[in-house]
Amino acid sequence: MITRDDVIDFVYAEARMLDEGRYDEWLSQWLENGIYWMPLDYKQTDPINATSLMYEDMFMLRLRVERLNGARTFSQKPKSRCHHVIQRPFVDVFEPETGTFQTNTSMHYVETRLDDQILLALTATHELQAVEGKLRIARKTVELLNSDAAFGNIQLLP
Amino acid sequence: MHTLRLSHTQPCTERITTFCFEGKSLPDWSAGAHVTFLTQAGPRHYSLIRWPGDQSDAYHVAVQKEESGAGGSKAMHSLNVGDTIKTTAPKNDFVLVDQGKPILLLAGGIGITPMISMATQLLQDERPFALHYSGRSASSMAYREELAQAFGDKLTLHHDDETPLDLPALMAAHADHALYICGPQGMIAAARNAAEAAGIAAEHIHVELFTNTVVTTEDTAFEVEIASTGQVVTVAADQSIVQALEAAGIDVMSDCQRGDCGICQTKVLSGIPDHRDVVLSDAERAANDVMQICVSRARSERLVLDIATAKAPRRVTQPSAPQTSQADGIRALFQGHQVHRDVYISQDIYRLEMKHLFANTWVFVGHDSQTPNAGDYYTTQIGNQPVIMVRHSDDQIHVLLNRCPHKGTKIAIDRSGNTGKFFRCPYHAWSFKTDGCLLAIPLKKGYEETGFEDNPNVKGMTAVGAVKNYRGFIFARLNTDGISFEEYFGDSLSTLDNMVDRAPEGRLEVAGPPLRYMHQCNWKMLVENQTDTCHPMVAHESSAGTAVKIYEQMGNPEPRPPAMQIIAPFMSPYEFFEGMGIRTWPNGHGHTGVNMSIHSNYDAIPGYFDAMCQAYGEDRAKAILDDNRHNTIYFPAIMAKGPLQQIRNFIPLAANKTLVESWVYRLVGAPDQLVAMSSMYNRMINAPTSIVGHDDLEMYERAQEGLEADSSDWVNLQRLFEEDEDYSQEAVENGTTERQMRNQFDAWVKFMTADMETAQ
Repeated sequence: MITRDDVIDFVYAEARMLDEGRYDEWLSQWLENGIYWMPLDYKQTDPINATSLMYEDMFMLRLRVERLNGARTFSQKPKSRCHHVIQRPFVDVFEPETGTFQTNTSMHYVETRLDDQILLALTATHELQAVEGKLRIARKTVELLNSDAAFGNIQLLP
Repeated sequence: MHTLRLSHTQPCTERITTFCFEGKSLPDWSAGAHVTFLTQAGPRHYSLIRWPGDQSDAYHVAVQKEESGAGGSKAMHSLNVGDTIKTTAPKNDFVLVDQGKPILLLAGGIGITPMISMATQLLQDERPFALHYSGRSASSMAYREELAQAFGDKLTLHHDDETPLDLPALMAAHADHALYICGPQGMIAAARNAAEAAGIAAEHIHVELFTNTVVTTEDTAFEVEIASTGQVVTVAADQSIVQALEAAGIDVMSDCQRGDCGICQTKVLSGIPDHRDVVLSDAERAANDVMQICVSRARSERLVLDIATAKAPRRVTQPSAPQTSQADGIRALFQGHQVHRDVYISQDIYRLEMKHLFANTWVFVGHDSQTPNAGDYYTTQIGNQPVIMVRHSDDQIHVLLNRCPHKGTKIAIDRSGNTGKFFRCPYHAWSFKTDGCLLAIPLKKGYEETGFEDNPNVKGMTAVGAVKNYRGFIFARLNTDGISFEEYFGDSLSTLDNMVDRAPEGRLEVAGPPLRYMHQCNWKMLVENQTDTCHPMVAHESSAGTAVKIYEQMGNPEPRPPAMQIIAPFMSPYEFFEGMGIRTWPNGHGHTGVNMSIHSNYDAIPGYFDAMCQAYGEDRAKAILDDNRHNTIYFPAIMAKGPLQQIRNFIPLAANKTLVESWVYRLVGAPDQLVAMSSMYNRMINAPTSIVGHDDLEMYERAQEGLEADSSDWVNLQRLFEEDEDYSQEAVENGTTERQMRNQFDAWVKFMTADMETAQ
């Protein structure tokens, strides 16, 4: 049976995988029909019929990860590094019977490359599903506090 | 404030008495001035009288006892010699000015008083004038004998029982005169009309009302006529003009409803207002050519009002410093096959671009669906100029420079909003109509006699030189003079036409806010990249090439993942891009994808083709949908993608800083999957989180830094270059030519130098 601590630990572990660049392991945390959504507009509700910053299926996420490893990925020469500082997640949905969970987590995300470093404040919502006793990501929504600001490149994953 | 002592009185007629006041160090005054006496019945204004030869500094006024008045004249008449009364200092709202013309003084009844002083002044200055004085009967007219003695044959007396005043004849005989009128309101209105009919210009007609504001106890109904339309609206006794006009569906501007903000001020073309406000000065009140329609009413049966005719100032062409070599210096930067690196890295060139190129060309502002209702606004930039795009009450889109003419404060700072009927500066509450016209200024009286009225820099929010709404897309030219929209864009408008025609209902609506992507590079690198067909398979190998590889590893499943439709075509070989073709149009416009493009092979969306056939017929629908242009550059700084309803706007912020805003539009009448497709393309390709965008930006920023290296001053544009290229003619070429980049620099030189002084 999944416990509340399991849910919270999952969110921490996911951030650590991204910070340490363990992307293959990170991809394995997702359901095959999982979606990573980063809205463009503050409080955006429709991810499809208006522009989002990201609305990516597993093909796109795999492509992102694979590209990071490529020899001719010019914007990743040298590679970016990232760092999450996360607040203890709120567990907003906890239904072990159906294996459905949802968390709400405040984060500060730092990304750096060469002499540049950016800091993004964000709220991540993880919609998780238990599959054969293991938690998997059905949907991760990353709402940037300043999603409507003009950004330079954001190359890794908050 | 002064204290005057009544030294003596002199009866003139049955009702009129001359009062002579003395006081300590009384201020001097000029002809036409009045003094306000603080009587027991309230303040009352009386013109000061000076006769030829009078050297004393006493104040003489004449007061006509008004039995029906509010008591001011009775209070004056009840003064005894030796009594004191408080007054203001003399004030002159009826100044005798020298307009290089002979003067006609026209007085009615007690209105003779300021005219005596004026005639005295004119006599002393030996300027030509005539004094006409009219009254009901000879016995009611004060100073008849004194006037005849002082002014001789310059004086003509009229009285209704013997020699009535014939205004048309009088004005016709003095059509070359400057006119000064003082008398009852009805006479002033009649005289003004006669003067205008005789061709005397408004600036040569000066009036002063001598009666004090009458306090009406009971309001009555009257009529208001809208000058521009002839529509007549009745204002009921219990209704304000604003209320009556609004009830009649006429759009008017108002705010306080108390007569103190000045926002509803309206021009009066004829009729006499009954001023109830506290905004107007005495002179403005007397002139009766403006009124506050929220509280003021009418003395005449009808007022003819001019609702909103003023025009906001326009940005004028800014002449360059007389540096005759500047245009030649610009021309030297482009040599056909190469361009000087300074066009990318020099901040001086950037400033010249903002001053000349972005002022002489038609620059994209926004889409009219961003501001669907009157008062809706959107803030953006044209080059480095902050502007507001706003829908005015007449439904037209106006583009105004976003700067208060007072202290420079940006009037609107939200990216979009609704301002109601007017903008109000948050700093000092100067207010402006949504066409830019100055509406009101608090404490406006403080600008009287400061030259403010003649200062061209405070007339309102400055409008751009010209605005064009082309099928919903708003373009502006900053300079007032310059190339027309139609000549500037010519046949290149076919891409925007195709984009709009793709909507079954023939119109677009903006779909959400744009992606905003900051680039630390020159704006022209982005513009050139849009038709650079030799970079995708190189720079985007890491995204497009990897997508193809993963898809193959998956065993090429159907249906294709969306990314395969959108990203994979970037990996097409050189031959594909050669075959796409490039078309160039005059003035720097051009597009890739003449024959087909990377957008040609998208999956069909159910229901869309049927909707198009229904709207246009099958042949026309096919023709519209078969046009799959790739990127169209509308020089200087946008790219349009017809098949995906996108506009990318490259906003130059500095030589090395460009904000890219990428918009998508909904095809009205088409299935939602179309806008979903456009939105998907936008985030996959144009977002700061896009794996395609990352590599483009990497290239631009490396170029921006690399161009500092002194290996050469030149950037190469030589691919498929021919010596005799004529950019004034439309041309279609091999899709890998850099001709469109050369075409852009040809236009760059043309519009940079269009308003520069040229050396011989």
